[in-house]
Amino acid sequence: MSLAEELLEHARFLANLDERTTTQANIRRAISAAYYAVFHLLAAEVAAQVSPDLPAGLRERTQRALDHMQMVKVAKAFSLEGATKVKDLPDDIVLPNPVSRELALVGSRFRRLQDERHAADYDVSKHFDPTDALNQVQEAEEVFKDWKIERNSRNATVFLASLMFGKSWNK
Amino acid sequence: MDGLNFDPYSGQEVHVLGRPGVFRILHVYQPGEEHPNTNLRTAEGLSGTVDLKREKDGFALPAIPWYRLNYADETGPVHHAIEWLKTNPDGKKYPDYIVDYEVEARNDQSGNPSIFVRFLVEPDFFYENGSPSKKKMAALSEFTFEVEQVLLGLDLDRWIYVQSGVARRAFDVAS
Repeated sequence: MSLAEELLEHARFLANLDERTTTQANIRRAISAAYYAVFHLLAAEVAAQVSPDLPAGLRERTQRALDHMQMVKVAKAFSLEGATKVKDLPDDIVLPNPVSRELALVGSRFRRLQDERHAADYDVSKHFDPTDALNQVQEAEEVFKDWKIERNSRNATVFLASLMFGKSWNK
Repeated sequence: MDGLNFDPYSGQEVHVLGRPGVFRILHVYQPGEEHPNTNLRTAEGLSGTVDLKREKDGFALPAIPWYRLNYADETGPVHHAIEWLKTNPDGKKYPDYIVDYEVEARNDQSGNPSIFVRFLVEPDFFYENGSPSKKKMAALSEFTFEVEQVLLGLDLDRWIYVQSGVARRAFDVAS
């Protein structure tokens, strides 16, 4: 089982604890784990695309270089279904196809998951319901499903490269 | 998004370019419709005008061209679009389990100027036979995505977040 899948499983476990006795800590950790499941799902895909797996550790280092802020910007850019151009993509890179529903859903949910993760981890003024955690876990599960459909598309290649290099390839 | 229009309407609160304060629209003149006061007819007014009154002091501004109007509240276009969605346009069903929605303009957790929409659903909606229903949550997620697509299409200079949550029952709020 990959780290992403483990995290999703962990999020599921925390979100499904008895709602009568669960705690804010459990709910918040579930929301956070749901985001990190998706983060690691995409990060692993990026690393697999841009880096060989030998020598040992190279791919893991590549994965470590990903930046959450950059990733969410790219996710936003790919959030509109049917878009033929996305923000910050260099002119010489043409999106092979309009953004599919699956890719738009991945982008949209990544943004929401990340924002909720920030709130769950840092915003102590906010109260989370058990259903908030269930919702976020569901969102993460949907990302896994949609990514499975999208991952071999030609747009996915551009999306993954953007997650890694988007902020520097307009230099 | 055929059918979604942002034409001004009577009663709407707006800002006017070059004039301080919040104004309320008293009357809307459609494009091509001439203003009754012949002295106020201008070429730019041919694309539609409104008569306005300032909320604070009643100061009147007649025959103001539409293009000089801005929403008094930056969440205005979002409210407008959601109200349009409630009319079930293009056969898209606005779910009946949504009891209310909230729209808030603020920065997201990363500091991006954003608009947050939160749909509030009936407290029992998520549950089926006492357990949370994945099918229902998926349907809700699908709906929020559809709304987000409409709002992204407005091309607002804001990040858009469409979320959902459980509406609190009256006794929850009171306690």
